[in-house]
Amino acid sequence: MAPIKFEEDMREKLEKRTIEPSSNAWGKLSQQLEAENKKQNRKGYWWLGAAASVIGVLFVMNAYFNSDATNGTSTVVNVEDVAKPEESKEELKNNKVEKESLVKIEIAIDLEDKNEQEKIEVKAEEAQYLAKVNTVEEGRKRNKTTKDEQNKIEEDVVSNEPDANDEIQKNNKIETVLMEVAENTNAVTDSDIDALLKQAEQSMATKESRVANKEKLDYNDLLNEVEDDLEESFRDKLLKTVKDGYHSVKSYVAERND
Amino acid sequence: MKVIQLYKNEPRLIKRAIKNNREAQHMLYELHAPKMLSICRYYIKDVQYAEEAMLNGFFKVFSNLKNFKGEGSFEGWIRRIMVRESISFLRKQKKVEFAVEEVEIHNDHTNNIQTEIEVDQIQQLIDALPEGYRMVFVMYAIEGYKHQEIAEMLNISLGTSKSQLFKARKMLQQKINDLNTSSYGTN
Repeated sequence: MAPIKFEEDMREKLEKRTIEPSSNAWGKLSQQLEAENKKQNRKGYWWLGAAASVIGVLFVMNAYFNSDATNGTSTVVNVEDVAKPEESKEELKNNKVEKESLVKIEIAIDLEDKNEQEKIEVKAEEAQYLAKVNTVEEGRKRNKTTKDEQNKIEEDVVSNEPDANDEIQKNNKIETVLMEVAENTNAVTDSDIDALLKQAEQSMATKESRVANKEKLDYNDLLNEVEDDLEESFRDKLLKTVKDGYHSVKSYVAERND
Repeated sequence: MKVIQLYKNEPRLIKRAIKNNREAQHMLYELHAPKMLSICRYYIKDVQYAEEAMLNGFFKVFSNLKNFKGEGSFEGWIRRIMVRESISFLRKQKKVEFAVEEVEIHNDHTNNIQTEIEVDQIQQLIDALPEGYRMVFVMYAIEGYKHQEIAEMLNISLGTSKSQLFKARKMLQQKINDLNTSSYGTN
């Protein structure tokens, strides 16, 4: 009991005791804590720096891959579209790509900041050119019909009784003339078409060079080209009138024989 | 009034100290440092060495303050850290031996020890004990640890802890008898 009682007495007295630390004790402790905080901050900054660098790299990569070379895209496309007629002449005869390409050329011209009134004029002239192309196509169709009609006429001529040799000879002559005219018309039509196509190619080439060189198109040059086309269309008109006249003559001869 | 106010604000100080608020840490240090230095002095004879162990203890307190979850008193949590730090300090200084020699008891007046011993004399008596005896005696008799806890903390067996305590008590009794004999004369 005594030792225990003695120990209790010791415990009570020691528990009441306090010892004041030295004056510089807190300073030492504060320095230790400050050094520890700096170590922890370095670790934190390192992680922040690593995260920031990763984010920056991702941002740059995203910007690089999303950037597109938009300058001159439409013109590049137009040049390709313009180059299409060079591929085959038969395609130009039967499809409307040429029309679209001409329209795209207008758009390319628009991109080079042209006057709207001038554009309208160019469009009108281009439309006339396209109309001429349509007439060429129609002419080919008509040539086909003329050939059919020729066949019919030939049949009719053959079916008719040979009343007189003179009449037969005349009909034969008419047939030969008709054949020649048809061939000539075909030849003319094809040659005209070829000429028109060549001119179109030249015009496209010139326009392509202008677009490639990024030079401003001269409206006068466009008008001159259109004027050339107009002249050729006038030639087609002449051919058309000749054809019409031929048909009228043929019909008159047929009626006369009856 | 100031002490009470400080005591009431201790949870707030702890929260701020967790965020490395130096003023809050200083206030907590001022509140508990004198008591903690006294505790470290139980184990370490030299006051300067005891203060060094106390500062190391507070460094660990503030470094691991976020781990204090409010279970039990904050002073008790700090006290356990100080005890461990004092033991670690002693073991770093020199190898602590838990002596097994027999101590002869000359007088048998242990049951009638009645003396008024001052705190300083108590501390001197404890300082006179060997490190092994002292550590076990202080942890058991003053701090209130159980023999199982003492054995785990000091990495000794349960029997060694009990024998060390017995020997420490005998020695203290001898010392006190010698002290009473010298103060009151011989019988």
